[in-house]
Amino acid sequence: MLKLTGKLRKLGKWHKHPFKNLLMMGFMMWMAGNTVHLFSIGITFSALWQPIGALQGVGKVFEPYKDSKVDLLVPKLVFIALNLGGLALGIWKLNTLGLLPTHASDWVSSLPPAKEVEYSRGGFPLL
Amino acid sequence: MAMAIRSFLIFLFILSLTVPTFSLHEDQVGLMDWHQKYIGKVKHAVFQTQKTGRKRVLVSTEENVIASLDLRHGEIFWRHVLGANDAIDGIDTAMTKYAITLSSGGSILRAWNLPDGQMVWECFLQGPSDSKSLLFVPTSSKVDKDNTILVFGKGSLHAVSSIHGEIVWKIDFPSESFEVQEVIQHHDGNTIYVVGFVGSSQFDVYQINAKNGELLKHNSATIDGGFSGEVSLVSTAKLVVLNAARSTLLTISFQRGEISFQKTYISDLVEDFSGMAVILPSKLTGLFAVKTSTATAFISVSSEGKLEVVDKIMHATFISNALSISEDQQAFALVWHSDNEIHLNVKQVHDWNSDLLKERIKLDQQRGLVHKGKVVWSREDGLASIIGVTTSELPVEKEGVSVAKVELNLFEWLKGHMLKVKGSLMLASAEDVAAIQGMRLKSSEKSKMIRDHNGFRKLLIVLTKSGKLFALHTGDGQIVWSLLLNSLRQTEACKNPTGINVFQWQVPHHHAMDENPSVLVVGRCGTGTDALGIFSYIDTYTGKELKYFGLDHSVAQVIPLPLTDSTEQRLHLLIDANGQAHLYPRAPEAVSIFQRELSNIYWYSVEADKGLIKGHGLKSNCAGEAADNYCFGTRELWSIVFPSESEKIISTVTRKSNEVVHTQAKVIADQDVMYKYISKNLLFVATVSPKASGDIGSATPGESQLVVYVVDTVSGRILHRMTHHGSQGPVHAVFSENWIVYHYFNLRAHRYEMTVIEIYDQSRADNKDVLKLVLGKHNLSSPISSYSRPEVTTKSQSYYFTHSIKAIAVTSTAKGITSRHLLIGTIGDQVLAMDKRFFDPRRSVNPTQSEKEEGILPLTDSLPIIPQSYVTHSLKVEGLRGIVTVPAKLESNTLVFTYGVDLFFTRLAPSRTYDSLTEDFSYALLLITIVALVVAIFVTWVLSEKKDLSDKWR
Repeated sequence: MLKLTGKLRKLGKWHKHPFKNLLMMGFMMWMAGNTVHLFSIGITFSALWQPIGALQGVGKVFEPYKDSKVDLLVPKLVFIALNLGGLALGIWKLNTLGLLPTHASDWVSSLPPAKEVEYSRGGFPLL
Repeated sequence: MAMAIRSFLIFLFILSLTVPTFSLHEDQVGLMDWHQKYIGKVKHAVFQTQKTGRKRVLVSTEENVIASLDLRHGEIFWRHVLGANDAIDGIDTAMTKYAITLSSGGSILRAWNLPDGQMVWECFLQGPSDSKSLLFVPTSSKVDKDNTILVFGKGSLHAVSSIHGEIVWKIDFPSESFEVQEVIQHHDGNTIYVVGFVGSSQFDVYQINAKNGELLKHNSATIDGGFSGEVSLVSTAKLVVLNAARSTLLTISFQRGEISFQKTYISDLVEDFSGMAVILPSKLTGLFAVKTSTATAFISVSSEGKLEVVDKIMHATFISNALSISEDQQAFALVWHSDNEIHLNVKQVHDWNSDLLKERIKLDQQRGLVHKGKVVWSREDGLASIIGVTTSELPVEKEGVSVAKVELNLFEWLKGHMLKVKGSLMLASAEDVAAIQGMRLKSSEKSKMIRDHNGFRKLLIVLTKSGKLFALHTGDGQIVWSLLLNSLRQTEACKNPTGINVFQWQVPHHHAMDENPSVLVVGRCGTGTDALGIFSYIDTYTGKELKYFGLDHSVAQVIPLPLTDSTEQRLHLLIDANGQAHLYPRAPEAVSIFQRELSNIYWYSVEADKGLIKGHGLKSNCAGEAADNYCFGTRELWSIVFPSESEKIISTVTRKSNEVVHTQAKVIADQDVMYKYISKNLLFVATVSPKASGDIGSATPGESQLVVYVVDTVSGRILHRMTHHGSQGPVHAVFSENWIVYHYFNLRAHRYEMTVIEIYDQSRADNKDVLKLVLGKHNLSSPISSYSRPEVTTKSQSYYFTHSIKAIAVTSTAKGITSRHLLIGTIGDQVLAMDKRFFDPRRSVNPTQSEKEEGILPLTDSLPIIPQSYVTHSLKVEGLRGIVTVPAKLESNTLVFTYGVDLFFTRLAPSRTYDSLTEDFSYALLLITIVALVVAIFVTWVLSEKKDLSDKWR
């Protein structure tokens, strides 16, 4: 029993960990500002990678607590939700940096000029 | 260890120093630019035969240049380019130390110091009427004795002191139409004779006191039958002229003011004479030359006035003035050309049979000096009068083409790089620095005769006024080949051939790779627009004229079409004076290609004198007897008539047909999009009120206005019209992408102004739905037609500009991604590069944060001139007339060729070289750094291993 409560306590710590991460990330992002430079890009991409990495390893995180007596579904869902929140934060940051193609200008900025049907030349008589 | 770290830090520091810098440094001059000085086609030459010092020849040219050249080497000691309207009428030397020039129709007399070319004095001469002008420096004034110069100009005779340039005395001749032919100084030095004609039948002699200008005596006599033009002075008291019918020679003697005539029929002298004769201008004692339709006859005049033919030459001949070769001997030269050779003959004046020199020179238009029968030097001064420029690629590197020859061997390469490293480490001595600089300047890389990766090496094909075509290498400006076009040579059928322009004819790239590229030279026989045309193709690799022929129609317009045939020959449409279009090349294939596009090809004509712009379409066949398969008729579609009482067309400009634009969208602040209206069928037209079409200051601000139009040349629709009140020309404009920048004078502000117009397509402005754009549901890439009447908006803004300008151009790059710079040829004959960002109608006094991020500059009322942005740095392109930009293959670079009397070429990177390392990047230093780092890693690794081991032992 004691062992179980210890496990649960640990589990609580484990799902607190991504929440702390989220706050930390938010603070870092606020610090980084809204202009594109090395620091803000690094922060944003780490904010994107961390949740993705965590979501990939969601099974591994909860491996030590795998027990028939403990219901892991809720903590797992909370863990996933928090990480998705982190991911969303990262994407939002990416957008504020203007790195997401959400504007018309992103889709037409390298559109070549349209062809012209007619061709006309001339000018002063050559002298 | 600490040592190692320190050396690392030093390395890092040095690396940080080698970050490429972008403005031009003093030692970068001449690395990618070259400058050549010319003077133009020589009109007059004065040989300075002083005993001491280096021998010089003083020349004046058709480009209004006065120059002093080294007689031994042909180098320019000094030169001055007078203004375009300041044509030189005569040059001479005075007091052995001054060069005297008479210019501007005999109204400006200047003295220049002979050794260094500094101007000593200047004198403005005024007179009652315009007349021919004559400069006469008395022989006694050439040495120090006397010091007056006699000038006939503006209808009166002036005596000017050669020391200070003051007018000593002036005579207005009683008869206003008196034209002075010769001024002769009497041998006592006190009296001068002025001889000339009034009208075409009266001969006058004035005897004038040389000291005070007092008119001593005036005699005149009428010649019955009149006379014509040319005069030859055969002695101090004898003239020879032709009568009005040009069949009789009149010998006029005016000994002591008494006039007597003597008539001799040319048919008595020259047996098979018929038609008209012409006296060749010469000043030889006792000898003159008469050109008839068959030959040039040399006739000697005895002291009694007896004429005798001494020789006949069957070709058109030119005669030099006499040069003293010893105390009492004078020599002169005859030049004529036959077949492909120039014959040069030097003879003594008194002894026709003594040939001092007899030479044959292969025909070539260079100005040169023959010394003891050898060409001592020659200068390609045709390059001072370029009329057309185009470019050609160099051959690609093939197996047959050996590159190894020009490459240095490994040791030299290493040595060079070690020197460079030393230079970058600041360890180089003064000699090393000089060696490095020399190496960079002489880099064989830039003058290779093969195509390079970056497209920096090209051939500039230039056509000059003399009908000679040159190929200049862009690397160092060397003349790769030059060709005197056979097609532009005088023949029986074509008396006065002139070149019009040079065009790219065949640029092989996809098909026909093994063909050589060729250019097309279009010319005409004569000066009017109705003269028949000439066509000539030249291979740009070999410099051989492939084919040439005369056309059976005139050439008013040459229109290169955006069509090529299977051998990559570009189709050209030639419009003749009757408005009929002729297709070239003359091949059935070209016609079938052209027929497909016939309905979409238009042309327009601008008639400045009628204030008319007309648009034409093409018909499938042409009217008249000249009809053949290659001739197409035209029909008028539209016309714009400007009111003649208020508007006069002074300038039109259109986009370059080969300009590449990267994108149609312009992203502005806050990710918004504006769509540029990019059309090649737009014409910018500037008109001024007729009163204001003269020089600045000739009209008051109230009566002058400048109106600019942007016209669609397919439909004749006026897209934009703007009036600048109180402004006037000259207007210089440049049209690129969707914008126009033009320069004019604002009379109210007393300053030059530049205005930018940007044209945007309003009909596409709605394409802002991201989803539709992602799915491709937009009309942005559908072809546009002028008949769909696209809705456009224009934005415009004006700025003051300090300089008046001579030419304006814009940089062009291979893909049009790089931002553009305007290249402004200033009145000081320099080229100023200005970022297009200065000409942005969206500039405002306080741009918002997002606009600042976009790169919009705060608005200022005048454009800043940054001294560092002169692309010609310290050089001047004298007589600047044109700026040509050519894209390099490397997107960031553009090649700029500026021509006038001088030539200047450079390479620019308007957005800096973002796509390659700069040429002076030290690869050796990079290599050394990497090696040092690797070594350091090993050393520290070994050290740490040792430390670990010792720790473990402890």
